[in-house]
Amino acid sequence: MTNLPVSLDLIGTMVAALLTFFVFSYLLGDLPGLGVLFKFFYRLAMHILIGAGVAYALAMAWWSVLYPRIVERLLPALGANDWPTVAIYVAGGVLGLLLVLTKINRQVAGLGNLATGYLVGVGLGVSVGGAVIGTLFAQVQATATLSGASSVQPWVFVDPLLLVVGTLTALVAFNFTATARKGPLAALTRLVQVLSVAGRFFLYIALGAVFAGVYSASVAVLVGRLQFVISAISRLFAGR
Amino acid sequence: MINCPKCGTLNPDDSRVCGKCGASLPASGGRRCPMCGKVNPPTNVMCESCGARLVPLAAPASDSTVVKPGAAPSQPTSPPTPPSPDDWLSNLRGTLTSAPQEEDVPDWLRGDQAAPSEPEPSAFDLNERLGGSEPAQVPDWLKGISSAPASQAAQAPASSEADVPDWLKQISSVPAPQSASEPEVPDWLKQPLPQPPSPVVSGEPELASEAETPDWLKQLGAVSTFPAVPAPQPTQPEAPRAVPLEPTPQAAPSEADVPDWLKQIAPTSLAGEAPEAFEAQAPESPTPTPLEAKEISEPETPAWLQDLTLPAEAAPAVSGPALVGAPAPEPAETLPWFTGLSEPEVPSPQAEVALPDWLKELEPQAAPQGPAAPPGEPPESVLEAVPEMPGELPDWLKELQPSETEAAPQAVFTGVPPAQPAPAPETGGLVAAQLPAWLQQLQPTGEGKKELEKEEPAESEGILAGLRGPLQVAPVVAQPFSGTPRPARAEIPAADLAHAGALQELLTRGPSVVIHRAGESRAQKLWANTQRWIVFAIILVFVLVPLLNEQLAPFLVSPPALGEAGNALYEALAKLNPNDRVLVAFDYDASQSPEMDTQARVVLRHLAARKANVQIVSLYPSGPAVAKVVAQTISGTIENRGYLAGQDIGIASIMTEPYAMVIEFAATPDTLRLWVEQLSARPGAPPLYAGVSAGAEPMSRAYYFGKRSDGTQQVSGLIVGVPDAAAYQLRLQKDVPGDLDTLARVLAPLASISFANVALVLLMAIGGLIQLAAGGKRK
Repeated sequence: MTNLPVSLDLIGTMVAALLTFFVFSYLLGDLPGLGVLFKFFYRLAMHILIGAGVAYALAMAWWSVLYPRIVERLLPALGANDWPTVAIYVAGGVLGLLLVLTKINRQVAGLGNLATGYLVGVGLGVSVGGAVIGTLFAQVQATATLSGASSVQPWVFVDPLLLVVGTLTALVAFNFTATARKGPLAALTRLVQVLSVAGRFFLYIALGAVFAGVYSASVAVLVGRLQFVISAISRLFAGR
Repeated sequence: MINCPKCGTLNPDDSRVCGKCGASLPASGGRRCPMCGKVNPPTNVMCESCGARLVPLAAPASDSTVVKPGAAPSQPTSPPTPPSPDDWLSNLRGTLTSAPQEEDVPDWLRGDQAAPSEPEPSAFDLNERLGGSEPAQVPDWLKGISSAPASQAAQAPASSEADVPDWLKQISSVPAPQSASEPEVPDWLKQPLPQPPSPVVSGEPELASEAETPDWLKQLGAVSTFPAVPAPQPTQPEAPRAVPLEPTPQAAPSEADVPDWLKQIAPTSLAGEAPEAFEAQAPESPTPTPLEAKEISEPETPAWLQDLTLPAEAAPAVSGPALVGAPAPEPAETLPWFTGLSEPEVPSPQAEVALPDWLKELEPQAAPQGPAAPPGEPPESVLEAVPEMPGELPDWLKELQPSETEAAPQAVFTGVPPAQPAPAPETGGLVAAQLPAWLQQLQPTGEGKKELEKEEPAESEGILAGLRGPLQVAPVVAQPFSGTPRPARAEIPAADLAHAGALQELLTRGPSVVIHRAGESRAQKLWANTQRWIVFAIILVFVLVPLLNEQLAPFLVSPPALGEAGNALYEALAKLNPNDRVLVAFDYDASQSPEMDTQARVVLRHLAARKANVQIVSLYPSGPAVAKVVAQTISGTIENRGYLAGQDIGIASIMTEPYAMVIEFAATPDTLRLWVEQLSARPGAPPLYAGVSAGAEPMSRAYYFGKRSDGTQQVSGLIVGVPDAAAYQLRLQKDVPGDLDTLARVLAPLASISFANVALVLLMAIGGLIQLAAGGKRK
């Protein structure tokens, strides 16, 4: 964009600022009289965003996925008689075509199951291993380890303890099963209820933190867009 | 193929009637089921189709010596081809009727219809046979009749000898046969007729071979001790010996030669001869219950045979006069014993429809409807009433047939199966559906069942207490639950239900910006929107003030500092060597770029300052475009490799290349999780650093505390949102000169965010105070 003529860059900035206003017009959608117009602007901006996004994704699929593999790898491999490489890319191409067939003709849609099965199988094999090792085991271990703090301070055990207690009580808070009113399980039921209340407080804190983060991120986005609009307007008036 | 016995036409093996003439075909090479008619292989004992028994329980191996009531005299010489076990009735039918109407014959009665033409024995011949060497073919129940002592007749009701025809007297003079082959005779046939107190009854039954005799047969044997015989004997004292069926010249029959039904019916008939009319004649005779002799159940007896055994219970209810003799003339083919069977079923016209024609012919025409004879009067003989039908009656019967003036001996019918009294025509009588009426008559009655219950001892303890007889499962299971339902051990509290419902609603319903309650007026809606606009306007003002005047920012906010996680990232980048390959992932799109770009920009500046070889990828299709915008402001070795397809598969594939570190810019925790998982699962993977949005921090910071299998952190360094970006930039400005952004420009966005947060807090406080002032009511 820096190499573009100033006039064209300015036009692009103005269009972007205008679309930003269109999106902001959603806040005025309930305004009597002009509300319909503002809604139209908002929908226009959203349609442009979606359409441009899809078009960009299609272009990206070609330029980032297909073109490098076909032009930059398959064709040189064919020229070099590198048949293993050719076989790999041809097999991938065939699987891709089979997937396309599932949307073209129902009679041959069954052929796409082979590609679908391959994708699902490989995807599960990769993701399940990562989820178990990278999230499940590691996070459980991190929760149970009391040596999480790196410094030796009086509250060194407070943070891990809060982590463990918060995790367990939050899990107990989702206990909606039947509870005993009488009998030997009544005491256990009361304990579960107390832990459930504590877990709900931990959940409140966690959800509040998430909301605060989302709000902060939204405000940051708003600030960024406002900075852009201010910059665009200043450039408009400055003529550069 | 089966040759039609009538027209000779060849029919398929499974044919039941001739395709040409319609005549019934005998079973070819197999056994036809008496119940369903299916032709089974000859070796089958049970029907393949319905499971009915094809061979009688005591069926003999050789049936040439089967004693067939009524048929025995007509077969002085064995037929050339012995009939099959299920053809006994056909043989009987062939003997009885000269031209049966086969279409009306039930399937189970069909069989070998080709009754051999046999020599017609004369009365003289029969007398010889009675004293012959093979008297054992006569059933014992007939023997008992014939062997009744003369003293029995003396105590019988009045009856003159003049009523006895001479030909019967001759027969009756023949002594009762005592065959050497008596052990082969069924037990119930062996037993003498009941003696005490009636002189007719000879004694209790002798169950000599209980091991071979079915229980029901034992029972019937006991039942056969009914003092039924004395009724006719007083009137016809010598008549039992005059039974023409008694002696047979055939070989001594074995027990198995006798069909089961005959075993059953014969003693039952004796029991049936204890009607009320007879009780009047012999009131002192004991009447044992039918189940006295029953010891155990009969496991091998088919159900239909068991049903047939039950009429013995109902026998006492059978009135005698109808059995003794019918005043109306009988068809010529009807044998005496069979006449007794078929008498009571005539009156209903519906029954005629169900009966086969040949049975109809056997039925008495008017006998069932006749009134019961008084006990004191000598009943008329059935044979006496049988009209002469020379064309159909066997000759030997013709010879035996008394003249019309002669009274038939009562004793002839002592062995006749039970017969019920003929219902009055005006009552309609019994209506037989499919079975002949004389078979329906043998069905169990309610009284019999009650007596059965009485005889079966009830269980006194255990879970079966109160039950008697076979365990009836269905009624017990079908009983409704009568107890009080147990209260639930636990119940879900209402508070838990409310919380669960709220969580369900939160998960299923999407967020809504504007909530209008039903029933709101236009003014109320406008006021609600106005409140929203006021809030937005206040926040907008607080955001724009620092942005419009950046110089105010240093006075509004203090310069931020990096935390432990941010410093870890900074230190890691500071240790990079030139040309180290660093993979930077831009996993966010344009909607999060105002926040995330600040982080990416300062990090790329730092990488460029370290002269690192930067490789840019993105799990978002639009990520490369965002990265391009950021990278345009950075001067350095930066390669934008574009979109990384396949999510975690793409990560796994690209991590085959060596990198010094991986930096992930994630607006959501999902993409960061993918990177963490794949790098944690790969031994020797490079360290991962992350810059995340403020909204993704709570879920992302947990990975900062997580450890890989090699002990390193899952996320070695982390910066969050705009504040950390500003702090990183400020630190970078100290170490790397050349950054043109002033402190005010760096702090301006941060001041705007801080002001917006303050505005929001103020609005919330004001709203809370207003609500508190309004009395806490929520409108």
